[in-house]
Amino acid sequence: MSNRPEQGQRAASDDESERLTHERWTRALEAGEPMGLSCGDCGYVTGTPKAACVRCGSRDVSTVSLPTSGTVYTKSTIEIAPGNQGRGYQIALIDLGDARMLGRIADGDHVEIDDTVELTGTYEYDGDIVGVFEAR
Amino acid sequence: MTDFGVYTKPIAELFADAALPAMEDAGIENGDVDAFYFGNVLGGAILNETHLAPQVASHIGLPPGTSVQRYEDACATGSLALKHAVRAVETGEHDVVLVGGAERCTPAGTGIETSEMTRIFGSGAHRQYEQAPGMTTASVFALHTQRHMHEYGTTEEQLAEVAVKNHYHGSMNSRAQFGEEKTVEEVLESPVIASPFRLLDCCPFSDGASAVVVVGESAAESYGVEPVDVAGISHQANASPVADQPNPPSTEMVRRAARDTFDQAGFGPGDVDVTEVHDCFTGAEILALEALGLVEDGRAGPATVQGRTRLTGDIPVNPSGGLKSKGHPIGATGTAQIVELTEQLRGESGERQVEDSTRALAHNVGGMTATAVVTALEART
Repeated sequence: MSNRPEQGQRAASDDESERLTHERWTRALEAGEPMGLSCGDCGYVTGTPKAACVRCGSRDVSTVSLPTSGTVYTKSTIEIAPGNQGRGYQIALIDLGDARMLGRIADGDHVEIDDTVELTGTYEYDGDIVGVFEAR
Repeated sequence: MTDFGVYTKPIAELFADAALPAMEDAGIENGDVDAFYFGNVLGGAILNETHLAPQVASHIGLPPGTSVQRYEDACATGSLALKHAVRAVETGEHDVVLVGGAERCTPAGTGIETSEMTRIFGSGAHRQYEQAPGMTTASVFALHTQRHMHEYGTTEEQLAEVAVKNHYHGSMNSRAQFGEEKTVEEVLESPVIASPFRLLDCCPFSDGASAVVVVGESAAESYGVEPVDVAGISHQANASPVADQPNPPSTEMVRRAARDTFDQAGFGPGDVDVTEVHDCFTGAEILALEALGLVEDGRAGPATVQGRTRLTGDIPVNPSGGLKSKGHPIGATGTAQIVELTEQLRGESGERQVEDSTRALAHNVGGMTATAVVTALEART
């Protein structure tokens, strides 16, 4: 799809430099500044990159900063995992402002539902980076 | 269908053990089959075998000219293939469709160790946003179930009762991989896999195959056997990753699929006599009972403890033993549920027969709670 700036203001997703790609999302997370996407039509906010709104299909999605602290929605401690993941670690669905994100809980830490957690670093598995959270 | 357990024979030979008896049971000759829809999930990852449909079709003697295709939709694969078979005969594209699945994914049968098999099973999760933080197949259902426990007070003992009930049912099923009875104490003393699930909350790795034959409504009587009607079937998706799914533990795609299926069938959850649900983990059965409308939200734990979902209860669930006891050869599971329910509606289930069953429901979930197929079956009277 060609860019036609003469037609006025474009939705952010039409401009590749503005689009929230996995690479851009990863860099932001590594900088401790998590990013998501907000839908201009239905208002849904997602915590991971999409090409359009996952709820309503609108392409009017724009990149938004997410808070670095949030609340545990649900969690599980995993004992049987792929070899390189280790064992006895916790994952959690975390509400960061209006977005929800699956994060890894820092080794040795343990969280419960409704606990407040903070993004304190990142974790790499097989070339991909995700957020690490600790109870506050 | 075959017994579920551990097999080392080629996929095509395994499937033949299910398909040839299914065609005989249906009164169908090989030359009658217009299309063959085959379910297999992990052949590529485990056995280095993809594009299995022509190979399997050739082995079981479906002549060239038969339309053959492989389906993959994680654990809902077999039901997805069934949906396409039903639609194909409904629209008149095909008259007779053989549909089924086969899977070889046991560590014992493949020589692949458990942690590596756990990695392969996790391939249904989003690589960047679910696999990377360490989510496994057990843990996505664990995340839903932990939230269910938080919201409704569901307990680990109630989860254990699901396993005890399904092993009791499986003890009456000669095809079951783990057909011995278990106690609540045994479940609660087994090691943690992904909290709150312990080993005995989880279905096993399984090998096996299953098959059914789908024909047009008006032609069904002409084969000289007792047909069962597919009264409704619906396939619905949920967002992936799970972080974008609305309100876990609602499993919203199951609710949509159930509504659609009941609309097609012209009956509701209160009219169902016997149900097979996708109990890959005990918590998954709890979520299923509520999402299907068999039990009100938050009450599936107590309903299980009260015995309502036992063979003798008012809503018998998983008379086969379910995935938990019977086993879960992924691509074969969907049509294995249909085999069980067809036999139930025909009154052929022996010791585990739910008496006077005329309406049945199957629930098959795939991937990280991202796909569901719900099927309603009805006996001809």
